[in-house]
Amino acid sequence: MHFIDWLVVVAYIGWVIVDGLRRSKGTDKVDGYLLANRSLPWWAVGLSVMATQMSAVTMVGTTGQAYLTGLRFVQFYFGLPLAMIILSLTVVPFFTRARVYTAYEYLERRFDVRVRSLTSLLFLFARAAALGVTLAAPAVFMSTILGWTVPFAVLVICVPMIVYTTIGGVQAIAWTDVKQMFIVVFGMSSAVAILLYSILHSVGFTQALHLAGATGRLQAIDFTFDLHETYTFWSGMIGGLFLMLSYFGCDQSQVQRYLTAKSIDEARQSLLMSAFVKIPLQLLILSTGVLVFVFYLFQAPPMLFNRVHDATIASSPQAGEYAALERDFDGAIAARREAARQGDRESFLASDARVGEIRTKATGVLKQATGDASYNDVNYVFPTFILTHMPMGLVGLMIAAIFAAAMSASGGELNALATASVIDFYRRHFVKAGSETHYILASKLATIVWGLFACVVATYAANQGSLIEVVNRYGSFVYGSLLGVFILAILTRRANATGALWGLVAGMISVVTVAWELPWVAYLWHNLIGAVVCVAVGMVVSVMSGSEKAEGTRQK
Amino acid sequence: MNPEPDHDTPMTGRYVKVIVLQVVILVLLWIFGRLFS
Repeated sequence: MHFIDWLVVVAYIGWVIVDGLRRSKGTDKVDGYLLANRSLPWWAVGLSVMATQMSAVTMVGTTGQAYLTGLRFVQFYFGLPLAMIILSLTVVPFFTRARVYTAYEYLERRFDVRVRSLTSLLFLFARAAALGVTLAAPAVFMSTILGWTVPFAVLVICVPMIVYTTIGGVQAIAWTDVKQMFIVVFGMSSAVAILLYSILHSVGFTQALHLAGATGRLQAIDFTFDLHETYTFWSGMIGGLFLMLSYFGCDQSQVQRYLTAKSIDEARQSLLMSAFVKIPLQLLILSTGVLVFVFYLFQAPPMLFNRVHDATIASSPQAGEYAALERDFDGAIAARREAARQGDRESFLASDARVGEIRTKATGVLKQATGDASYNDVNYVFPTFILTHMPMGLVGLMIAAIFAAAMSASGGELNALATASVIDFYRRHFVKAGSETHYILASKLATIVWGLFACVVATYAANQGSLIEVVNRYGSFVYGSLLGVFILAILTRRANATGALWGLVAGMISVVTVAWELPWVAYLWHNLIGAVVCVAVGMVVSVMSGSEKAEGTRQK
Repeated sequence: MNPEPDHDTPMTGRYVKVIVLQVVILVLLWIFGRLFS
């Protein structure tokens, strides 16, 4: 990276911290620190909602995935617009009128303190682990592409984020998220412009689309109903619907976003912003990956984009075999380029398949030589393009955008962890009559503690590729059942606390069972399974145990 | 602070627009995929 690029990155991080500190005005009360005095306009809340959901993994992992498989990942979001409508009609007015700080606080009013505490605890476990992963993933590939150690990369992402989150509270987070969304969208749009400019020097626009389409990368929609397939129209519309309802309706990191809105109307509009914008935004990101694929048809790509083991493999017994694969790769790339230029579809597809085969073999040789069973390079495709083909200045902007995405996602999660810890546990069970200043101090300390915990988890998780998958699966065990509890709370009158508790447990057991016994069932269906079982068991137990419905305001 | 925090305006029109937009996006994606496959 050039000095100018580093200047852009440092300037951006400095701006984020300074502006975050500026936002500390009005945070001397709990309402101000945790909910921005419920004063934020819908568009700021809407951008914050989107920024919290979009981590650095979305930016680099999704583009990498699109490079390999095209647009089909967009199906993951097909359930989101309907989920936003449902949430606008249900939880938004409930939570807003209830004047709660956390989603789980509402559950005590509806059921009892056991349900509140258990759901909040499950949220803390799931979100704390996920926060570590949210930081680990970008730290790993930033360390590789920038030559940093992983702990240093973790600190560069975490320290500014912890500083502005601790001092400025939710206001700092929301307004930083607004800036970060602009940086991300501008950055991705710049990347698309650079890619198109480069591609159109080699081939016409329509021909470029035909090349991408010939390999299936423009087939966004798969109408097959197949529980094995992760991304289909049905898994996105149905499984994805329940995932989005769980995440945006029951996860404090998102609920706290729209609790900061000025009114029910503005909270709804903030969610509807995602409903309108999220899929087009995701298509922008995925299209970038597809364009990177077309770009590399005419510019030689590396055989493997993650170069972290280059030195190791060069000195390993497999060095000769790897070098031979590189020579084969160069030949296949040249053949593919020639076929692409001539518009020879059959030759193009044959040479593209050969390129894929060689990459698969090279990955196998590398894993054998290094012992890194979890090696993959999907997250390094887009960063490699940025560092090697984007102009000076824009490289810094893109790196800043990746940092922005990492910080915006993790800042919201960190703030939510601190809020749930203080409101659902510290204030509810330990210090019940403290002053505003006391609870704000507790919130700030909780933010720092959770932030440091996340740094430690991120540094450890960075070396445990499989741990990242375990953490993501843990979330899927919990969120469907949490959604089930909220369904019981909001949409039924007969459900009681005992039913909700047993429903929650049954929901989680059902998902664990499916994941264990039927591992081929795509994870997007887990939320549906958890929610349905939770509601069914919850209703049965409630009816059998009698109507011990909990109503009215309870002491917090 | 907003003097009407509980202001609760029906947004049926907007919900319909969301659904219409999604249907349009789905149709365009399907056509796009068929055109260039």
